[in-house]
Amino acid sequence: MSDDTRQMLLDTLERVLADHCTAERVQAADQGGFDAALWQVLEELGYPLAAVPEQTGGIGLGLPDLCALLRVCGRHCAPVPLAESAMLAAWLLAGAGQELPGGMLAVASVDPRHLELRPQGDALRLKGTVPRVAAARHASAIVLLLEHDGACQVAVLHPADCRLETGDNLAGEARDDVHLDLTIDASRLYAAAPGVTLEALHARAALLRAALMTGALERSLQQSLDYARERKQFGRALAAFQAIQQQLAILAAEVVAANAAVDHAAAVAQIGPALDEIAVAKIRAGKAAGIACRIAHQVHGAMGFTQEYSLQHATRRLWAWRDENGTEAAWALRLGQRLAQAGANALWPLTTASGAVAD
Amino acid sequence: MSSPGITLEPASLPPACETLRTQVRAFLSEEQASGRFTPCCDNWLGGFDPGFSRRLAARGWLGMTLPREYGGHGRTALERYVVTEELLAAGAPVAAHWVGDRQTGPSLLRYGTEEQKRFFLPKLASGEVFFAIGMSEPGSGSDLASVRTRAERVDGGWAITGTKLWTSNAHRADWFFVLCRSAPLGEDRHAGLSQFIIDLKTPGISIRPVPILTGAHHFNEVVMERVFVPDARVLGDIGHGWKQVTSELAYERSGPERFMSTFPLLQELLRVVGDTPDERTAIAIGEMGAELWALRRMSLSVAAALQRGEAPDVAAALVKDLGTRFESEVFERVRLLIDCAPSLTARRRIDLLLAQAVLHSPGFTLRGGTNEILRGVVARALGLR
Repeated sequence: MSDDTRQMLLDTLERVLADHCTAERVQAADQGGFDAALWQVLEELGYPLAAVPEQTGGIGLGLPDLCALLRVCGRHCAPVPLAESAMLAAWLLAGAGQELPGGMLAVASVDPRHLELRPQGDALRLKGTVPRVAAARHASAIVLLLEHDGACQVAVLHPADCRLETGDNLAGEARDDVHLDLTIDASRLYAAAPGVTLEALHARAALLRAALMTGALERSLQQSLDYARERKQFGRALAAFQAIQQQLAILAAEVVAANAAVDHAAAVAQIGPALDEIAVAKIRAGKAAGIACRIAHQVHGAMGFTQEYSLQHATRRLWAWRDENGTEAAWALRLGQRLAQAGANALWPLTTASGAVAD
Repeated sequence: MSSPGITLEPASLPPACETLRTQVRAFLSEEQASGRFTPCCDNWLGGFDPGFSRRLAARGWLGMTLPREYGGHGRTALERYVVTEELLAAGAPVAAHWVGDRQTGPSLLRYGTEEQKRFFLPKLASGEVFFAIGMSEPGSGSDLASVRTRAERVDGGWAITGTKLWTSNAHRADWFFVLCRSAPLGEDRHAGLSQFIIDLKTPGISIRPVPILTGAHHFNEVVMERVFVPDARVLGDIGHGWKQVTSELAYERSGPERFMSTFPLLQELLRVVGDTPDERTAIAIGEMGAELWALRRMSLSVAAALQRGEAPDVAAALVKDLGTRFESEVFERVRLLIDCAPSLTARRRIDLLLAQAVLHSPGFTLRGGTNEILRGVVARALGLR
C-alpha cells in the first residue's frame, strides 16, 4: 500500500468522525448503544475491511496502520466497535478463509474456565458463557475463536442462537455476556489462520485497545489544553498558573509515553511475536490513563465532572479500557515472570533485542 | 483534531548497531571479569576512571560522532547511543569522559575555531584530556541567565572572576568550559553572555570539594580570581553564550543516563529474587520493565531526531522528566520487595546498590535542569506560556 492511500484512509476517517462524533451523538450511544448511522458510513467507505487481506477483497492493513486508525477513533470517542468488528472478528474470519457476513461483527473467544467444549459425534457441544462481549447485542454475527484438540478453530454464531445478557462498561459501551448452549457441526468449524491462538488473539486485542487508549489520551490532553486557555480565574487564564502548567506537562508526557509503547509494539507485532512489547504497550497505556484522567478532571474542575461536558467521553473510556483485555497488573505479571525466568543477566539483552534487526 | 502535544517519531537502530553492541558487550564483560570495575548506580557521575576511559578510546568509543579529521570516528549519533547505553547498563565508570564526550565535543565542533577543534578534539577522542562544565553558581541554579561570573576585556584576552558551583570533577579535569557575563546585565538578560575555555592549571583558580550525601567528592566549588583566558580560548562569539549553551541542552538532556542511573539495582533485584518470584514481585518487575522499555523507545526517538539534525529540546526535556522519575521509582520499589538494609558499607550487593541509589537520588531530578524547569519547557511548547 502506498503512503498516499494510507494517509487518505486516515484523513477520511478523521473527517468522517469529526462530522459524526458530536458530543450529542456520542452521548446518545451511551448505556450500551451503538451509532448505526456512523457504522453504515464506515461500511460504505470500506473500513470494516481494513484488516482483511487484499487477496480476499480487503484493504490488508498491518498492525501499525490499524493502530493509527484506532488512534483516530479514540480521539473522537467513536461509538462504534471498529476494533472488535473489523480488526478482530473480520480478521479472524478472513484468516480462516471464510466469507464475511454483512454488518457489524462481534468477537468472542472461549475461555475454558467459563465454557465447556465437548465432542458430540462429528459436532462440538458448547455450554457456558463468554463474558463481556463488545456490542454483541448489535452484531449481525458473533465470530468465535475456540481451541479444541490442540487446534484453533473459528465459528460464526448467530445472535439468535445465543442468550445475551446485556451489560456495559464504565463508558457505557455494550459489553454483553453471551450464554451458549448449542452444538456446532464440524463442517461449520473453520481452521484458524496459522499462528492464531487464544493467546495471540488476546494479545492482538490488547494492542488494539491500547491504540484506542492513545487516541482517548490525546483527546483528554487536547480538551484540557483548550480549557486551560479559555477558563479564567483570579483574572488570569488557568494556563498562566505554574501549578496548572506543570500538571499539563505531566499529562503530555504520559501521552507521549503511551504512544511510544504502542507504536513500538505495533511495529514489532507486524513482523513477528510481540507478546512482551504488547504487554509494555498495555501496561504503559493503562498507567497513562489513570494519570491523564486525574489531571484532566482536576484541570477542568467541577465542569468536567458533569455528564453534560464532553470530557467524560474520553475519561470514562480510558477508565473502562484500561481494565479490558488485561489490566496493567495482569500484563505486568506475565512480563515480570518472563523477565525473572530469563534472569538478571538477560534483562538488558532482552531490552535491546526488542525490535532490533541483526546485521 | 490532529495529535495535540508533543510528537515523537518512532525510531529503530540500523543493523550495524547490533554488531557494535556485541563488541561493546564483549569488552565490558572482559573488563568486569578481570576485576577492572564493579558496577555501581549512577557511575556516570561517580565513576571517574581515566584508565577505563582511555581503554574505551583505544577502541574508538570516545568522540565517536566527531569527524575523522579531528581524531573522531565519523560514526552516527545512534551508534554512539548504543555504546553509551551499554556502558550505563553495565554500571561502568565513565565519569571521566562523560561530559566532554556528550556535550563539549559537539559544542566545540559547532562553535569552535579551526585551531580549537584541531587542538581539543583529538585529545578528547583519545581520552588524553577531560572536561568540566561551569554553569551553576552559588546564586544561579535553574535561573542560568543570572550568572554573575564576569569576563573583563584585558590585553590579548579576558580576565574571569567569579565562582562556579556543583562542578562535577573539576578537581580531576583538565579544561573548564565556563559561562560568564561579558557585558553588563541589560534589558535582554540573555544577551551579554559568553563561553570561555579555561585551563584549570591557570593561576587564580582555587577548587574546593563539595562532598555529596555519600561523602564522595564529585562536586566542587571553583573560585576564579582574575583568571586570564587568551582570545584564542573564547568559544564561539562573544555575547552569544546563551544561544550556545541552550543548543547543548538536547545533548545534555536526551541521553540514556537520564533513565538508567539505577539500572544496576533493578538488575540486582532480579538476581536476588530468583527465577520464580512471588506474584507481587513479578508484577513490580513487569511494571518497571515496561517503564524501562517505553523510556528506551522515547530516548531512541530523541537520539534519531538529533541524528537527523533536528533540535529535539522539548522532547528531550519531556523524556528526561519521565526518565529521572523512573530512576527514583526503581529504588522506592526495590526496597519494599526485599528484606533490605541499605548501607554504603554493606557486604550484600543489593544493599550497597540501594544505598548508592538512595543517596544519589536527589540529584536525578535536579541535574541538567530540574523537572519543574523541564515541565516549563514542555508547557511552553504546548502553548501554555
